[in-house]
Amino acid sequence: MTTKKFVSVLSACCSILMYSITAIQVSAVTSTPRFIDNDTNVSGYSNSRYGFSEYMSSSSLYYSDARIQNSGNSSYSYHYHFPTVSTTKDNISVEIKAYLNHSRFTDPQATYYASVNVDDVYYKIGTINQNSANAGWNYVNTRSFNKNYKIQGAFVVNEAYVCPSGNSRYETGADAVYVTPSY
Amino acid sequence: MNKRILASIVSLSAVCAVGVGLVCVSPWKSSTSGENAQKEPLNAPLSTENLLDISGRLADNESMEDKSAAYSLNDDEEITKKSIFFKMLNTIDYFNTAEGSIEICNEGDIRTSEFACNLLTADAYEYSIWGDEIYEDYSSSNGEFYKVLKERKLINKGLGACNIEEAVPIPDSERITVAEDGINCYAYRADPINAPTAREGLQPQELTFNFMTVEDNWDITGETTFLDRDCVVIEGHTNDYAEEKLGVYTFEFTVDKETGVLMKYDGFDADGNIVSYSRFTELTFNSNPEIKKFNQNEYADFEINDQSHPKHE
Repeated sequence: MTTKKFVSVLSACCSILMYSITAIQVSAVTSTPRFIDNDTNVSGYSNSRYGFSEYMSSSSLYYSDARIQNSGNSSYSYHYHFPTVSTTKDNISVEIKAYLNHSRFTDPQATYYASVNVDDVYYKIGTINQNSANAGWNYVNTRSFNKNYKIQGAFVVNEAYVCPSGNSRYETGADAVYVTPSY
Repeated sequence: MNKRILASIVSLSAVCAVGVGLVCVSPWKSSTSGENAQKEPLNAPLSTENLLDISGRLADNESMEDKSAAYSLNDDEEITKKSIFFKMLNTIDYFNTAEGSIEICNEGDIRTSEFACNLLTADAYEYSIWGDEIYEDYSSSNGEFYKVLKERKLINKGLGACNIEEAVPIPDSERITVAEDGINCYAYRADPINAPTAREGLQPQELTFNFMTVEDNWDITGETTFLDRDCVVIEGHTNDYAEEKLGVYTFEFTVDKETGVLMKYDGFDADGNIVSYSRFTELTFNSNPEIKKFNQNEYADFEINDQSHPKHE
């Protein structure tokens, strides 16, 4: 191989490498927001619950209703089911956004969970003080998960839930949520 | 000729290295979708259009920075409303470990806690007394966390304890936005503190969003020293929602200048009586604290509620 050829090949390799890096850098992030109200009747979406038997109505609530539970029993949970978002990519982030706008939503440590793979294990996304949070959509958190959380080579996200803190002086509200997996 | 080859290799390698370096250290975060797909700098200035009151209307057409003259703390130092606001939302970027004790009171309900946490590893332990009950919260670097309710002999076990690396930064311009339905959105960072009572002072995002979103409602009114830390004093009045829900009409924050941590908070009712407060009684940063680990043998006869496998009806 002549020197010129060698340099050309090397240049071409470097160009390909640079192009690949650039392509990785600018590749779009896929984000799939799922809106789930409490007591949803939208096809593909549903709710289930353990506790949270009290249904409440108020104009300040999203679509004017919500579920509520005394915070004393942290085994109780309110679930939001939605169409599956799946990916084989090595990282995923899950964001939960909760609508909070009622004076009875007072749990200082309401905790939100989501499942990120097929084994039905739920991971904490975050805790929010429902009492002192501002009225409106509160992004509970965005949590990232690396490839160690994948099962059978994939992330699978299709459910989230909220559960009370365990202190009976307060009440935990379950109104509408957005769950947004991004990868 | 060999020199020319070597020079070519070196220069091409340098180009590659610079490219890779840019990818690795770029302080930009991709937005997630559609029209927001352009990249935003992590420390973008607060957009005028993103500064909102709770009703969802845009704030007056002036920026926070324009409205508030920088508060001169010392001859060579100044702090703005904008800088303290975002520091309070990003406290977790300013320390790696914390240990101490805190007392929180909400309308007569008192919580006290002693805590130690390491944000780099997600290890944390908190011993708290809340009403008549004693709680112990543990979290560890393997993602497990345990809340022990001692009187009830119950352990809530879960997965998802988070470290600082997983608490992804959020661009300033995305902390307060308006959703498609016209309702305000407040973006919280994940919690790498893992000590739930101490978090309210160490990462005071809820109160910051609730009391300080409307810039006209508060001011930096002075400076003080609290627990040997240099602090600023913030005073203000609350919004209608907080008045009705919390019974708090005016408030005073004492905020650590270096970290943005809420060292002390007093919330007053319409008559000026304190109805809510929080205050650290001890606090040390970056001291490499010893953190108690969860040991199942201490709680051999306790029932375990696995929150990574919740019950359904």
